[in-house]
Amino acid sequence: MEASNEVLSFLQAIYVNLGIGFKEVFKTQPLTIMGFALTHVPFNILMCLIGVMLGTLIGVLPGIGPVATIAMLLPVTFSLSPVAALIMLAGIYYGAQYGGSTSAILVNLPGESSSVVTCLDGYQMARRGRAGPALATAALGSFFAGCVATLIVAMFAPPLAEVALKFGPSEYFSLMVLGLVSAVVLASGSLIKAIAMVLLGLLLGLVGTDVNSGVLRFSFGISEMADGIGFVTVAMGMFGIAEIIGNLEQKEDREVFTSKVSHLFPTTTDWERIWGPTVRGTALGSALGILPGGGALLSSFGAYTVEKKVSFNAHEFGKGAIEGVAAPESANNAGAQTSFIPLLTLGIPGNAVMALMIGAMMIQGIAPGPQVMTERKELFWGMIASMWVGNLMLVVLNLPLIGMWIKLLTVPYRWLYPSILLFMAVGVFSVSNQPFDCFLMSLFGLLGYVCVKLECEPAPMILGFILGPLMEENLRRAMLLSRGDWHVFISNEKPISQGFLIAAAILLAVIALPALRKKRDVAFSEDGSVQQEALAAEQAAETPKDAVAGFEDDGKSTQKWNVYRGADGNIVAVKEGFNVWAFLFVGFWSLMKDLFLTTMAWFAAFFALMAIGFIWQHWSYETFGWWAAALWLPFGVVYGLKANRWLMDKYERHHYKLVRQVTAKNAGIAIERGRRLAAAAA
Amino acid sequence: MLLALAQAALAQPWPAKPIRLVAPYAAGGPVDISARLVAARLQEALGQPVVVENRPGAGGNLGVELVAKSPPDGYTLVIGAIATHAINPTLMGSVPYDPLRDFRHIALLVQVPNVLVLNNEVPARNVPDLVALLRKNPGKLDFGSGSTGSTGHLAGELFKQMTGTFMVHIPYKGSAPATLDLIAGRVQLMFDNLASALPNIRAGKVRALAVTTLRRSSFLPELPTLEESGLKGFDMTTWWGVMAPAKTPQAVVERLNAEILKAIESGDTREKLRAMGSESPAIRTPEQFSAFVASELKTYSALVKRSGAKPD
Repeated sequence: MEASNEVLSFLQAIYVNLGIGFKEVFKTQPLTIMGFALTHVPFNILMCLIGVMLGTLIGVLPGIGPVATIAMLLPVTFSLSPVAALIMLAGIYYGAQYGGSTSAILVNLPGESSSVVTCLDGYQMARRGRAGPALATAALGSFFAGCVATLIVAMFAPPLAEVALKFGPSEYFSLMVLGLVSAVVLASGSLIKAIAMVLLGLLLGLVGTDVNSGVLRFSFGISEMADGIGFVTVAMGMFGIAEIIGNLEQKEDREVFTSKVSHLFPTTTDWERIWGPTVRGTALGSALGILPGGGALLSSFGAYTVEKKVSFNAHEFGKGAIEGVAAPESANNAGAQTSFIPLLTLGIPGNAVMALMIGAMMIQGIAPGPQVMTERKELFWGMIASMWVGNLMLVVLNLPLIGMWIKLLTVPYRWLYPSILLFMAVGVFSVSNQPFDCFLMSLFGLLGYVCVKLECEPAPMILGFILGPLMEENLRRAMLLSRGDWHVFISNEKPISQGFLIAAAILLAVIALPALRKKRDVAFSEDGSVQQEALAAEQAAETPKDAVAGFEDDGKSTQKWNVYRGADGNIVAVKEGFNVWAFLFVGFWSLMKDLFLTTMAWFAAFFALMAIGFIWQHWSYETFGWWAAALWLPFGVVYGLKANRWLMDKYERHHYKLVRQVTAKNAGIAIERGRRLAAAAA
Repeated sequence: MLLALAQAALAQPWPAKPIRLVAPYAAGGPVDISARLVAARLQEALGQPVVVENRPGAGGNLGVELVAKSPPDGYTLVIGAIATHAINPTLMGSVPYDPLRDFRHIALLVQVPNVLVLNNEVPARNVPDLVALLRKNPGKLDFGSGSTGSTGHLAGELFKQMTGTFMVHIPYKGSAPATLDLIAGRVQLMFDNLASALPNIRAGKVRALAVTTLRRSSFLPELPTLEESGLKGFDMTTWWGVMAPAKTPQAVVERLNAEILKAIESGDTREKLRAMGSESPAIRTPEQFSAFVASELKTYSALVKRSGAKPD
């Protein structure tokens, strides 16, 4: 009973605290505007609105980021109350995350590092006339993520801050290794080119002052390069300028995509496709956002990578898959919210914007740190409540704006591109006030154009560029701390680091193993038509007799597989019988497999049972295990038995056709044999 | 030519046009914030806009170099700091300006002590304890700092020299990640800026042992100085102030000095500067400031050379 009271008082505390927060946000105060004395002005809400509007605006303008804006607005906040000032600045920050996706989708310009990934599929959607659904998906995905992440901040900020403390140099390094490896594994085009681009990015990341010795590297005596090359400079050049050069090169079909805008909002099919990526992106973003320094950056890349791995429409990625917009957008917004956790609980800024918020707090005479939460309750909870209100405002503001943004695409390109160039130059200049960066951006534009011609994707390079310096810094720091002992990354005292490295090794093995690589090519290669040709070539070369050479039934395995073939040539195998993964992971399994109804059913049952537990007050930490098992077991058995049937139904709904049933040891062999048999039969 | 320009500018009463104040560090940092605070006050007093311009890069050298080469007409000012005017010239081998001869040092804005903070698990309650611990475990303890050549790093090197102990320097990119590792216990000690260390000291997340200045800080009056703890003459303060290109007319320098002093002593601004850990500077005239910069330059060039922090 005591423990159940503990849980109850925990919930009660959150309820009371959120009450304090919302009261603070909706507080009214007298105000005189231009001679009119108003008695009840909801001033904090007003500041929140101004913040998110300003944020959206600067987010849309390519290059002008929240850092420059908040810096310029700092003096304005001197005269505001601390709560109003922080609410406004926070609004600018997450407003810019919303707005940033708009320019990424419409004109292929990532204003923030987090929207680089949105460019990949968002811009392709716009080219296919689907800018509206892309923008709506970004807005709604961000809203969902923002709400969930705000709730997480409210409920778990203090314990999660402890997680941030657990991440030392070796953990960061291993996380970055995992990030880089997954970038290579799941790049859509050629593997070699992806590796080359990552390496190029790593090299570019080396430019600047070495953290340990202070020596300048690759700066060629140019003092503007002493601090390295700016992210905005590289991204604007590689994506923005390269895109403009490419567009100007083609005379005819430059403006085509503006004319075929069909509808503004996602269709029913779209809804079915975006819910899963949004939920998964939110989860990943919330988790990585907690880590100061690079965590939030990884979340959008990571979310995209995960989607590419689990999605039914993997072949569409890079060509306008709506999942490729929903996942990273949710992830970056969730990350933006949870990155307030280290700031509010430890006083540690996770990124440049958070550092500015610390500055703003210090001006207000508040020392940012652990005691803010207890001593300045109205400030802490007011900010959290304002995040939720701000997210709601953003979605209300942004959905009607979509129509207007689409109109922007009808502006003739001869007007559009000079203005984009101008804004990019202004944006790059505003980061450090150096004309040199504009020249550098042009250089990267040329490099980007060359890369487009060579069919090298810029995204892996950007990832390498961001992660390279962080990896080096953390590797060398870890080695310094361990006095040169490499075991710090894999020793049992560092389970987190160990886990990341093992995951990275498994991913590497996936590339190395030929049978599995075949699967990767089939599942993730960008162009479906190429596969069709490859299949046709195989068909011509092989007679049915040796079609399955090397992949014959060895007579020993009894595991049956149903091999399906999609309309695009993608081949998958579904096991017969009991699905152990579904049994073990239940709702999480169906979430990863994009099975909407079963995911919802499981989560609904979970929350219903939790509610019943609380109402009866029988739930305590001691009995929790029994409740969980009681819930898990029947669900697990049903899921284990039915899972494969659900999967097959899902494939059939997606127009996959059963090729045949085969017996094989593992999925790789089953897929390969199914593929050859299909080719031979055709 | 520059002189001619300066005289032309003097023909009309200064200031006749907006003044720009270059902050050679990123927006939102303490240098930037204090610059913006003072700029807002100056603007009222001088009747002309005072625009803060962030020119970060190369450890502050970029912005400082820009101003050193600007016309000395009183319309371009810079915040010069301990890094740009005392440490970098030796640390980086050479800088594209002379910290003494290229500048008129107008007024010191901020002086913040560093404070020696320990991870809570380290079994040392005072400085002699710590020295004994270091003697017993040479090379076992680490100290973090915001960057190579920062005051936090140099304070650690000076501490090692004066006590004849050895610990390993772990450089970070800024003091925030270093603080995180200090709290988590991956580094055991740090000579952190008072303003950024204070919240964690008060919350009991880290343990403060001493301040690095000769005088105790009014923020932690119970905390001894390193000198009191047996390190005779240990004196390090992070400082920055407003400077102008050399040959800026004396009248302009005097007017600016008076207005800036008035600004930083007015109630509101003073409170905000205090929130950043700054005590009211004892240095008041431009001449005192110049002499101070010269002595700091001498102290730190010797220290940087001895510490081996200088990259080869």
